[in-house]
Amino acid sequence: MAKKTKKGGQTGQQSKQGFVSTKFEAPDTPDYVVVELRYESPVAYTTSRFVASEAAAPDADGLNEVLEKFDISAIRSHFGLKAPEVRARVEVAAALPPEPKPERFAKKGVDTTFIHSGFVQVVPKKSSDAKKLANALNRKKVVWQAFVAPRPVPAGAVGSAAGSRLFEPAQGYLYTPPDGIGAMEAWTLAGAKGKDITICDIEGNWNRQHEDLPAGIQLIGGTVINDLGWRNHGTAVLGEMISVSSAKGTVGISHQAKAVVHSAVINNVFNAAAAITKAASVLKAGDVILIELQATGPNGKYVAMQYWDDIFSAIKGAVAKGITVVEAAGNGDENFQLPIFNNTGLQKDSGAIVVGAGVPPANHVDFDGFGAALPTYASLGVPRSRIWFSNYGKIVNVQGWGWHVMTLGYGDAQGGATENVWYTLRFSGTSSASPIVTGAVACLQGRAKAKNGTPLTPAKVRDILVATGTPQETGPGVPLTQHIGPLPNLPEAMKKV
Amino acid sequence: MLPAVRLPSGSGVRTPIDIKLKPKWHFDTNRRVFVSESGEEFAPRGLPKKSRIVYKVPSLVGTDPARLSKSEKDLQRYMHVILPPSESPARYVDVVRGWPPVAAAHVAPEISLPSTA
Repeated sequence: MAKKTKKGGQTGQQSKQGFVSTKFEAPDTPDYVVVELRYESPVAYTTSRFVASEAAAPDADGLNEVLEKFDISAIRSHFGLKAPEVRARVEVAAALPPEPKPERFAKKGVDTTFIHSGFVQVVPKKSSDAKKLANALNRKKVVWQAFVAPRPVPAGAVGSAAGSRLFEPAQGYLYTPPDGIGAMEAWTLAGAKGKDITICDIEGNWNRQHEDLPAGIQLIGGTVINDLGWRNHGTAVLGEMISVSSAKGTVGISHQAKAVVHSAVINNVFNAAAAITKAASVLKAGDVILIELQATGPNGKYVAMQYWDDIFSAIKGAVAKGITVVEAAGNGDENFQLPIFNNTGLQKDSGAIVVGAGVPPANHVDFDGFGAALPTYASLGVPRSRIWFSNYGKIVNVQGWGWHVMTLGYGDAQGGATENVWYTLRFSGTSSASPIVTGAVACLQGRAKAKNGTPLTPAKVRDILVATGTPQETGPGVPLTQHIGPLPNLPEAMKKV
Repeated sequence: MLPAVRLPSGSGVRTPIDIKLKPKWHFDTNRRVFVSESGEEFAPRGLPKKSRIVYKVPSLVGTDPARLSKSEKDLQRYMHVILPPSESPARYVDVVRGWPPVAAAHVAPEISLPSTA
């Protein structure tokens, strides 16, 4: 049963999926199922049925048996491919091993058209059949996944006097688990919006004048890097955690927390250890430090900052003061269990919560690609599996959404003459994942202070997030042994406070 | 292509040499010499003019060790060697490694933001 709420001056509805504006009316279109065939499934489709070569005929027959149980109005390519392009997938697929990585088979025909050809729209005459149809198709071995196509909710359902749109419905990471972290459910508890908690973000620059950030975010040290890319990044990070709840823009996971920022550049050189130590001296037990940096490690790939001994010691020092340190694992596609990392900070416990990048539920590379690694409209993977670029290992404790997070800055979702009204739908990386976890920590600590009068220890915070989180999933080429941990589940976590 | 936002060219941010001092050594910033607990001294040499040697966390220097945690005591031993902008740190890292008070030295890592844009 959906519950009506009035939040930040905006009339909306808290549904199972999350907060949506009540002023939005869904279009009168039928529900349909998106079937993603396995790369290696030599199955194609016509406008009425699945077809295959003789060898794979039983696979097509199995799918057609499912279709016969429903009244189907249409079968078509999800990407509008023509019949010859769809038929061509059979020969390419037949030559592939189980769960191939597309980039390794580019020369064998695994190109964008081939990948697109595996996506099939199956439209039942009755929308009420869509879920049953998806479930039945999901049981077939040749299907990687089948799901009811999401009904889109416009990000900008309501404008405002200032001209900015309301983007809260696009903040899927706030939604109910398993898709999001369940922030909106947790907010009903006293203190659980991060009240009385201060977060210090350590990186390089921020637009602290953004219209959706609270006034008075203090730079407590360091020199900012005068660059738009770095400024957008910091602004996006702050937006996920503390953007103001109102009738425009986004709402931060821990929007009642206070934020301060510290640049990692001191005396014209990077000095993250000093920034962490300074932040720890300003903050108090229960507060949170976020390290939004990575650096090039011994294999030439990006690794987490605690690889370097001085930073490891600085983190330990902050944690010893009761401050929870959240750290981006980095985007190096690096395995921290490699022997080269023995006896380094990547195999030791600094006390920090190290955050990997997980695949969000809207899991396709929708409007930009990854060059040779992943083309536009490729599948990014199974929700909550490791995104291919995320670092992984035993010290990576939890994950956050690592792809296309709605927040402030950049201007692709809403531009304008001034950066102060810019919003993005595409903030990504362990960069976007880490503020989700940081916000969750602030919510948990705010609740702990409100309920118990004292915050939790950093170790307890980490234990709770790991124990109650929605588990990591496996995906093609990304087994669970490539550990990034679960996605926080705040409603469950709050029960442990 | 791994996602990262690197420093823009012309940012003015330099790459230092990071060093860790051996236990029981410290740097006398006024006299610009390393001094051991036993009174031994070492004047840094082999660096270009206008190089600076600075503690990474100056706020911990001179603090009563009894008030510091084990991690903070460890942090007291880290320093930067900041060279003039025209000089490559890779060229001088072996010189610094050869100084008796230095336990370890390396060129500071290249830092970036873990994002795609």
